[in-house]
Amino acid sequence: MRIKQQLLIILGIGLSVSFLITGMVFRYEFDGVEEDFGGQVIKATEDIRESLQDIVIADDKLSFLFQVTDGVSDEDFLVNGRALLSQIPYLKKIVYAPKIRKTHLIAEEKKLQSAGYTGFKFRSFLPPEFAESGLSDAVYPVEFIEPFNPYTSIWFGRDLMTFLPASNVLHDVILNTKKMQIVWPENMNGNTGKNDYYLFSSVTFLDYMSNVRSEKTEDVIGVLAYKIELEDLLAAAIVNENIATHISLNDHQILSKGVFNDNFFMTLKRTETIVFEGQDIRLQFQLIDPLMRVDYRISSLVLFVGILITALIYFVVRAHLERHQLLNEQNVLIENKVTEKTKLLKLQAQQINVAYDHQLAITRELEAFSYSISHDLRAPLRSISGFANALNEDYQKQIDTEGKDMLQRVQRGAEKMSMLIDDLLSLSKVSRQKISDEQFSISNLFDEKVVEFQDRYPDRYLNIKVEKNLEAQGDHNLVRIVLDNLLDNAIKYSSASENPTIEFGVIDKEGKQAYFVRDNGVGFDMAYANKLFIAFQRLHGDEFEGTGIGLATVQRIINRHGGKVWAESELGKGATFYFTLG
Amino acid sequence: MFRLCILLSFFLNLSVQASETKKCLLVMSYHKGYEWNDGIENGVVEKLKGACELKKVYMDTKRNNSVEFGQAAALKAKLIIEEFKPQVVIVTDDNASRYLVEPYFKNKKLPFIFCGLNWTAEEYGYPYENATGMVEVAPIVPLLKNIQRSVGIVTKGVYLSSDTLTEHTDFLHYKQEYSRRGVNIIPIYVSTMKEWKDEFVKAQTSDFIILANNAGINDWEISEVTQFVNQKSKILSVANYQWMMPYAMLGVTKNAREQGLWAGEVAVAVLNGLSVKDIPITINKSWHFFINKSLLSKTDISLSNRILNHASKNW
Repeated sequence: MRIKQQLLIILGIGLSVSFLITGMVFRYEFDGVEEDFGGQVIKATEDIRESLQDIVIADDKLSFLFQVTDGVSDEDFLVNGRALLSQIPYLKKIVYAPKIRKTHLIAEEKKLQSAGYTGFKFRSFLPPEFAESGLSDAVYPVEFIEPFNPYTSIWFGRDLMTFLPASNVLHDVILNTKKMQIVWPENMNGNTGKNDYYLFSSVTFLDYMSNVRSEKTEDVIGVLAYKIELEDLLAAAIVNENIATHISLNDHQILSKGVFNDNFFMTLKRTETIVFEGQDIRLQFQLIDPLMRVDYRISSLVLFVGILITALIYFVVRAHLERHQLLNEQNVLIENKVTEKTKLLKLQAQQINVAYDHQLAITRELEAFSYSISHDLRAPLRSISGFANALNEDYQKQIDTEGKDMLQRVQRGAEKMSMLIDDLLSLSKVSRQKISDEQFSISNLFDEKVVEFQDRYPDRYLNIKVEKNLEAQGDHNLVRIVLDNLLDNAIKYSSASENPTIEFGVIDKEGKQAYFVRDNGVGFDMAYANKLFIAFQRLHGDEFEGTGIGLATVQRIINRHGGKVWAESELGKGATFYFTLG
Repeated sequence: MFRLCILLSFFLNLSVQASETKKCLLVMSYHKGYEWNDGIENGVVEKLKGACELKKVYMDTKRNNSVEFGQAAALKAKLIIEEFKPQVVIVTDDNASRYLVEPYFKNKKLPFIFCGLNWTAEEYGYPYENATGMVEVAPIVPLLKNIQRSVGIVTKGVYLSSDTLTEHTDFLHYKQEYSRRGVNIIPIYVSTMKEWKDEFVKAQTSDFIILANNAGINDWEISEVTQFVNQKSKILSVANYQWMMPYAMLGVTKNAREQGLWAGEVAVAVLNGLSVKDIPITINKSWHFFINKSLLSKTDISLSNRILNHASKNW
């Protein structure tokens, strides 16, 4: 799967989880709004219920005043009325209309006139043609109004039963004396044009206990009316302007605050019902634009954190995958390169092997040739040397001085040639000879060589120091040749020294035993050290004898042992040859 | 030109505003400085403040009580009305209605609001199509209620007063209301301070005594009577005039300011379009309550806390 796809999946999962959790948190927040809304609805309903109950309590108080007081005075009503109006803020007007039988109307009018209500006559709310009271034997003229002002005073003396919007309700009130009844604006249409709501209740004798309908009307002594401002009540109950409210009374909508919106997909609506004195007051509440009321802080934070984490994971995984991919690509690249290199190396190795084999074949051929030449040259050389010697011995008198000199030169050349052939054969031999591996005392071996040289050159003084008890591992015979050559060189190149000294010992060189042969002879220039071990290369002239093959033989033997040979020297201060064996 | 138009508009606006300024006229029967008159005037001024341009006319018929003076003062007021052209006129106390409203403005277009009329407005032909107002009634029932609240059930009382026509008229109202409530009230009219003192002592056998107006008792000595009642008071004594409070334990008196407030309130309503025809003639409903604690402390009578707390003034 590609990285892009993997990242898209991670992104998708991360965002999905983020949105899922955010959704859950949002639901939690929305539940909070709903719960808050529910709380407000319950509180508002209770407030409205209690407010209406306040009216009932007020009604009880005022009813009691009229029940127990024989002739309630203006002052009594004023004091009680003002107290109730101040206690209940949405109660705006209280009216009391006593029941007066038509037969007592004139007497009652005179009584009021004598009290100062000059020119007073009971009147109707309606024009004269409709002035008939709802209950034929009695009228309910308004005598008490609080607050009493020019605007409310126009009710004074008017028969409440002719207050058309309320007449039906008043009948109910009078016939069902235990209930208060509400009149709403629809019924009041044409009256004030304002949203006037009235509650009407009847006042009966205190000891009224009768359930007989006909007696109920008889026992009513007056009617109390309360003007209330439901808008104020509602405004006090629902402080939140975002809650629309409909109030219905007995299935008639009487008041609306705000506009219901049912089109929105997330709506919060509640309906509560208050049973008030047998009347159903249904309160419908709707929270306007509930999504606007949600406190998005937590969900926003969760979404932000979710996206952040998703982004973090995205970038971390992307970095990881890209790194992984890069490594893979690098690995592939490296593998390819390795493969290529391996192929190249194999090819080169094959080429080297071929070249080596070829070279080896040539070398062997050359060695065989060299050996063959050397071997084959030996016989004629012996003939040259033997005949030269015989000529010198047998024809000594016939040969003049110059001839003798020439003959001696021939003999020396033959001898030198013989030595050269010996050395070449020796060099060739060490290359061809099988190598053995044994432990032996190299100190003893060196001592043997010293003795041999002392025997060979008895008249030469040599100060030779040999470190005792040195052991070595290798081919005893070949190492003997090495020591022979090195000792021979040391003696040869130190021959000019006043006190020629030769040392043999061992040092530790990188964890290996490096044997050395040191002399205090003429030494050599280290600039030419690389030519030391090449056959026929000589750093000195004819003042020192030699074929130039000895050190090449040494190196070949050491190489065959897997060791290393090198030399350190300073011109005029002697030289030291080191070698290791494996 | 442009500036001229602006100036013209400005002055036109001013003239329109001036023409819209509402005017009220207050015609008072008495003079400034008379306590009752001042109380009404204060009430009117308070209610009309900012509602209209108020002009005041004092007829001064208390100090000049002849019919001729009253008629002349009314004529003068009429001329002012015609010149001032108010939207509404408030008239206080009886003489303004007697000499001005009834003769010149009965059932005319200009609305009138009266106040301070004693007991009834019918004497001046009210109600008119263009008039309404507040009648001034004595606190007959409130006084009786407070008597009952103070000493419980009462059946008989004495109405002690100077022997004047007004007091005789007032007593009829008292008798009517008290009789309806089962209380027998006996009138005693006196002309001298000695008679008053003698009758005061005799009245101590009743349940209560109403100390009505002493206006008309010419040898009245305030300190002497005060000292006398302090020694002789045994039963509850009540008064319905403030100046009788040095001799009474409890007083319920009329409130002149209420009359003025009502008249002013109705005037505002009329200016706002309400017809005076729809506003019924009403009576005063608010009273001043007085307690004479000094006198009460010399008797065994203790008033209820409700009355003590309700009292607006302590004498």
